[in-house]
Order: sequence, then structure tokens, then C-alpha cells
Amino acid sequence: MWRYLSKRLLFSLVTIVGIVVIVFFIVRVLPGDAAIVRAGPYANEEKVEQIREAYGFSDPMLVQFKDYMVGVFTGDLGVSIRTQGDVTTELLERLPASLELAFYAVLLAALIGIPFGIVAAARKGTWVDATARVFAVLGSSMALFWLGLLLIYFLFFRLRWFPGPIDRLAIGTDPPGTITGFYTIDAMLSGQFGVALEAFRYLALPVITLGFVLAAPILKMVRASMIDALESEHVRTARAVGVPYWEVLFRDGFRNALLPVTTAIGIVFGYMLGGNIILEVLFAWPGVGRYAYSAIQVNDLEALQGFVIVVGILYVMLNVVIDLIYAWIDPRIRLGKKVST
Amino acid sequence: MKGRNRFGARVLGVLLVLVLVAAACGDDDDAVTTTAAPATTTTAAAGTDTTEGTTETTEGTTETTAAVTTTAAPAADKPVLVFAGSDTPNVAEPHTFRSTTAYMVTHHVFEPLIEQVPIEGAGGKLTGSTDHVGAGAVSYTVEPAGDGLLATFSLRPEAKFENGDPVLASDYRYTFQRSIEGPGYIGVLLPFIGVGDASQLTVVDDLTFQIETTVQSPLFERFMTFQVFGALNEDVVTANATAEDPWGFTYLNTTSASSGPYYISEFSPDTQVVLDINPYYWALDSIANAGIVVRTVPDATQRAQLVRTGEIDVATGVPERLLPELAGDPNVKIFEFPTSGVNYMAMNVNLIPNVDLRRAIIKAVPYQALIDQVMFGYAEPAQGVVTTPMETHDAAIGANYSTDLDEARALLATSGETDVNLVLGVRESRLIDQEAAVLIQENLRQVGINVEVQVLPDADWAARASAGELPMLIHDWFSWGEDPFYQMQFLTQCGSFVNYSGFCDANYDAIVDSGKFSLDPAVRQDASSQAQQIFWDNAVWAPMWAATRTIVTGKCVTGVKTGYSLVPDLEFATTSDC
Repeated sequence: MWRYLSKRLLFSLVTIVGIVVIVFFIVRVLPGDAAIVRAGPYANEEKVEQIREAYGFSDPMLVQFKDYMVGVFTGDLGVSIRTQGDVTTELLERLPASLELAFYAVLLAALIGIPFGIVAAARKGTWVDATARVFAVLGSSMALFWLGLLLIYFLFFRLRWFPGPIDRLAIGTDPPGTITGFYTIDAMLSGQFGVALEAFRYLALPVITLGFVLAAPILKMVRASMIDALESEHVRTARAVGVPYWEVLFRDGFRNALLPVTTAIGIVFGYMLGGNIILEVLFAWPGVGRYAYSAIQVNDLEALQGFVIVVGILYVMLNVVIDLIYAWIDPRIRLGKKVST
Repeated sequence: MKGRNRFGARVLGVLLVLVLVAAACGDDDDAVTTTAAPATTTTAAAGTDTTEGTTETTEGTTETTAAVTTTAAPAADKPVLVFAGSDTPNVAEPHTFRSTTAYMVTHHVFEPLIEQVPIEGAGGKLTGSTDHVGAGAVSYTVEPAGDGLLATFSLRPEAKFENGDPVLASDYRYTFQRSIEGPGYIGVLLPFIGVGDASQLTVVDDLTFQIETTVQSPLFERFMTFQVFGALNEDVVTANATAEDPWGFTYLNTTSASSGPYYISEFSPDTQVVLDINPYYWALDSIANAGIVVRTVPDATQRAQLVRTGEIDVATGVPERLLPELAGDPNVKIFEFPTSGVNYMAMNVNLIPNVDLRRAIIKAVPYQALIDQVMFGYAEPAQGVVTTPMETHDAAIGANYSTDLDEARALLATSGETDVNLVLGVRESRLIDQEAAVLIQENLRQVGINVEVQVLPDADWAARASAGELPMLIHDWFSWGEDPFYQMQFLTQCGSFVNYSGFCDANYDAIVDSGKFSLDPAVRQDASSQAQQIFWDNAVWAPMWAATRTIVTGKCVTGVKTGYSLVPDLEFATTSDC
């Protein structure tokens, strides 16, 4: 297991270095001049040049690259030209908001997708299966922002069941002390159940929006994997020798379907880390996605590349975790050989 | 059975790992700020007392004393206002170019020497007039001195910073000196009033401050009302300066050293900024609310809906397309402030050198349709670089900027140009510019000119516009102080950073300069008309509209004010009146 883990970590390190290098050059070829935006319309060329000098934009590309690499590997992602703040600090301040949203959205998607997929597979060809497939098609084809707009309009503006898209907590509510960065968990850990409830209420609409859309691929994956498993010879044999149906369904069917399902959840969670920009803007959610959105608007290169690097590293780490889960679930993977059955 | 238990344990383990991984990614100590909405700190008494400001003019000298206004609501009843703008307040440093909402924040924090006398309009609207009264100064005089002016400000002895330090003449001197010598952009503006060196700033005594200018600018008093000249606490800023940052810019990025009615108690870009009442402010009674929470709601539709449901009290940047519906909502009030700002389509005279072609384009632009269909009536015709609401606007010249497709076709024929294909660059963030571009594109197609509308990221647009790479572009501008010569200088004089048309005419520049530093209204009118005529003759722009600034509020909000900068001033705003 340790050998397997070491190998995965080594590959991850290479991947991260690759991300860091590619990000630098991609960001540099983006059109626009951040210094002009930063200087404002009253500035003259001298002021713009001062800004370029201050941020190192005038340095040769290789010098910029060296400074950047040294910075990245010492945890310094530079200074945001928009906020003048430290990018590493600003991203870490906003990351828990994005992770909390992603976590609950994936949880909701799994809670919808997995049981629905199991039932659809078990009742293949029935109305239950048809309903599941309609749900999957709707979820896959509906634009995230459109669903968000609909939910905001009906559930907030018309019915007032949920609070408006303004932040993580109501104006005037103190956030709980930081333990994990998740308001819901931190509030509960510190006994502020009212704050936790409020945090859940503000999470509800974006989580429902994301959860609905993300449930579709999970459902499809669970259904397909379960059908494959349930139609396999060993399951048929188990049924023939009288193993109870529910035991076959969960022990043989779901267990065998677990690997692709884990992959699906991993991909969805990874997508959530970097793909939340539109939703965070729509719901005024103070996460890294909105930070990136603001950075893009003014060509804030340091902030933008910081965002991509952090999300890239998280994505790679997530893949390592998924690989480890794989190896844990299926020993054949970590042993690197096919176990005869 | 054993196998099933092991399987269940693994599933449980997987879930636990996922929870732990997600939770562990939270930052430990400094991830989330823990300050929330401001507490009410004022102790004002009930009652209303308004004393008119007095203006006394003797030969060449104007002396003005302050108006004192107090409002009715006792402190305990004062509400905390919630404001949402279209962008994030990015920095609080007052001499740095910053976001629109950041200007709104700093407007409430730094007290300039003088301020505009407000005129009360319907529904609790307050509009800054062209009369001025003392703010940080209790009185002031401005008198001719040689070629320039000598302004003497008697400071308010009771004025204090947020930490209780008295506001002294040395603080104002430091503020002006910092704006001249520091790395911000304000130093670029000061030559407009004939101030370019710290030796022109004199501390007579603790409470007397003088500025001597090299020119007699009619804009001098207007400039003195600008927030960027609001007093900074010299002791606090210098104590937080470093060798690399001798003017303390980094320190002021997120804090205030306030001399104004509010101070910044929380500054979290992208989340919220909290403005609490400065407990030492000299006119606590006049502040009509208990503080302001500034939130960022990037999506304009959601911002409008939050006002409609009462979660936000005041919002700016609400698109005009939403205003007709909001106007019919009994829970919403729309404050309208006509402005002299200009939205225009510039033509690069170097890339489109044929003046007849440019004039054909000007004649093909659907001016009224733009006002009706893009601005939904919340605009006036601009009719020139000196727009219709601006002093010295020449209506006879402005009338040339009208739509006439037949004349446009004739001009195109005269130009000798055939198969005309042009690029019109617009900014990604400006939906109204994109909508206007589509209408212009259609009209130009009708006269035989093909236009490709390019929607560009803002930074790309700015870089290409500055480099003179866009044949046509849509831009907007509002001049603080609303002065025609100031507007012409920035937008149309040779070498100006935002002269995106590349228009350069030495005679034009000389005429603009002659009006810029004249106090004689007749001279200014004559110079302005001449400049407007040259500008029309050269067919540089299609001036589209002069926008009406709108501020959307809840139905109970009163006391919303704007002035020369158009920045919403909420010092007198409250929701207590219904």
C-alpha cells in the first residue's frame, strides 16, 4: 500500500508542477493590460509604467517565471492588482465557502443519484426506471444558471421560503469562530445552532441548484453499473442458489458498482471546485469562483493564476484520495495484478 | 455475514474520509472574519435644527460659513442601511483609482474642506448644488492672488478623527502633499486647479490652512469638495508607512483613519464592508442612520430583487431595462439624478481618416432609439462632447448630432468609400454598450456600412483602445465637477490618456486651454462654442446620450444625496420615515 501511495504522490507532484508551468504561460498570453485598468482613466503613461514596474510586468518573461516559481513553491502566489492583497491569503479566506457549497451539493447529488440509480436498475424497464431517466436527462441538459434563476425567482422572490442570494449569512449575524471554515459545522461545534440553521438556509438554494444538476451523472453511472452487475453471471448464480434479493442487490450489485460510482462522485466534486464561478456570482457566494470572476474582469493575473493553481492542486489531491479509496475497495488495484477468482 | 459487515464498514469509511477531507480543507485561524453588522454607536438627541449656510461676497473675496443640519430621528431609532453596488469595493486607499463601490465607501470616510449645499427634491432626494459651505472648514475665503488664487480655510476646532485626534491644518497639508507626491493618480488632476507643488500649501496655525494656486481655475472650489482631498490623519498614516511604502498606501487599503462621518470597521472585499459611525465626528446629530453595510451582489437582477424584498435598502448599477418594472413596484423608489456625463461612440481618426465617412456614420446613429430602447428613457441626448445638461453646451451645434439616413447615404457617396467594413469594440461588462452597438450596427447596415461588433474583455478593450487599435468603440465618461473644459481636456485633447479617437488639433487645444483657466463666463462660453464647432467639423464622435444616474431604494428610504462625483452619499439617508 505504501509503495502504491508513494507512486501516486510522485505522479501527483509531477502533475502539479506541470499545472504550475502551464498556468503561468496561459495567463501571460491572455489579451489585455492589467496596469491600464489599475491606473484608471486619469492616469498617464508614466503612472501606468510605474504600476507595470511595481508588479514586475515589465521584467523579461524568464525573470517573471523564476520569481513566479520561487513564489509558488514558497506559498506566495503574489499580490492581487485588484485588491492589493496577498493572493494566497485571499484564496484561503474564500476557499471554505466554495468547499462548503461543493460538499453539500455533492452530498445532495449523491443522496438523490445513488438511491434513485439503484432503484432504476433494480426496476429496469418499469415506470420508475423511465422516471429516473427523465430526471437524468433534465439534470444533464438544464443550464446551471437558468435553474438557479428559476429557484431564486420562485423560492425566494415569490414564495419567500428561502433567503435572498446575498452571502453565507444574514446581515448582522456574526459568523461562527473558524474551526473547519464550514459555517454549518463550525456553528454546530461551537453550539450556535441558530447560526448553523441560518447557514443551512443560505446554502439551500445554491445547493439545491447544484445538487439537482450534479445528481444526473451520478444517477446514470449508478444505474448503468448496477445493471451491468445485476446481469453478470455471478449474480445470476447467487440468485439461482437462493440468496435473498436485497442481499444480492446490495452485496453483489452495489458493491461491484461502487468503483465507477466513486469515480463519478470524484469527478463531480472536482468539477465543483473549479466550475462554480457562475453559481457563486449568481448567488453572491463569497468563494474562490467569484474571486476568479472579479480577477478575470480586470486581468488580475496573479489572482487568476493563483485560483487555477489552487483548484488544480485540490483536483490532483482529490484524485489521489480517490485512487486510495479505489485501492482500499478493490485490492487488485493496489497489488497491481489480477486476483484470480 | 462477515463479508457483509466488512463491506458496510468500508462504505462508512469512505463517507467518513470524504467528510474529513472536505472539513480539513478549511483554514484554521484567519479564514473568516468575525465582525458582523455595526452596532449603533450614536447618541444624538431628537429634534430638527437647520441653519442656512451664509455666503458673503466682498470685492474679490468670497467667505462662506458652514450650514449645520440635524435630523429628527433619535439615535436609538436610526437604522443600519444596507447598500449593494455593482462591483466589489476593492481598496479603501483614497488616492488610488478604485472600483465604483470603493469610491462610495471612501466618500463616507474622509471629510473634505468644503461641501456642496444640498437642494431637497421630491421623495427625500438631495442634490448637491453649485453653492458650497464649510465641512472640515468652518469658514473659508478664496481671493485672487497674482495669476492665481489664495484660499484660506479656518478649520473646525471640534473636528476629530476616528481615534479622537483633532483634525489639524497639518493633516490637510499632508493629504494634499501625499496626493501630489504619492504614487496615486490624484497628482495628475491637481494641475487643473494650478496646484503642483507642496510649497503651495501652507499651515498658518493649527486651525488655518492655505492653498495658493498658479491659475484662477473656476473649478477650484469644486475640487475642494472632492473626497480625495478629505483629511487623512498624518500621525496614523506615517506611523504605518514603511521604507518601501512611505505614504502608507498598503495600510489604507483596508482601513480608514477617518475624518468623516463613518469609519471602516470591516473591510472584506467580495464579502462586505461595514461603515460604523465615527464617534468623534463633529456633526453626529446630522447622521440619519446608525451605519452602513456594503454588500456585493454581482448579478444586477438579484440586486434589484433584493431591494424589492427589503433585504437591501439602497442599490446602484441596476440596469435601465429593469427600471420600468421597478418603477411600478410600490416597494421600490427610484431616485433620478440627471448627469452631464457622456456615452459616446468614438471613431479613430487615424483608422477612419475620411471625414465624410465619419460624418455619414454620425448621421446614421439612431440617437432617439438608443435613448428609448437601450436607456429606457433614463437619459438625455448628449449632442456633443459638452453634453446638453452641461454649462456652455451650444444647442445650435449640438443639433447636428441627429439621425438622417438619407443624408448619411449622401455623405457616404461623397466620401468615395465603398465596401466599408469596420470593427466596433465594446466592453464585456457593459451590456448597454452591447445593446447600443447592435442598434448602431443595424442602422449603419442600412446605409451601406458593415460593422463587426466585437465584445472584448474589459482589460483587452482598454489595452486596444489605448493603443489606438479599435476603429470604433463605445465608451462612457463622467467628469467630477461637471466642467466642460475638464471633460474636453481628458477626452479630446492631444495626448490625453483617454482620447481614444486619436483626434489632435493644436488650435482646438489652445481654445480649450483658454477657457480652462478663465473665470469670465462669456470667455468660457465663447471658447466652449468654438471648441464644439471644431469637434463637429472633424466628426470625431457620435455622442449617444447623457445618462440619468439612478439609485434604487426601498420605499421608505429618504435622504439619498449625490453631488459633483455622482457617488451616493448616504449620510442623511434613513428608512425611518415610513
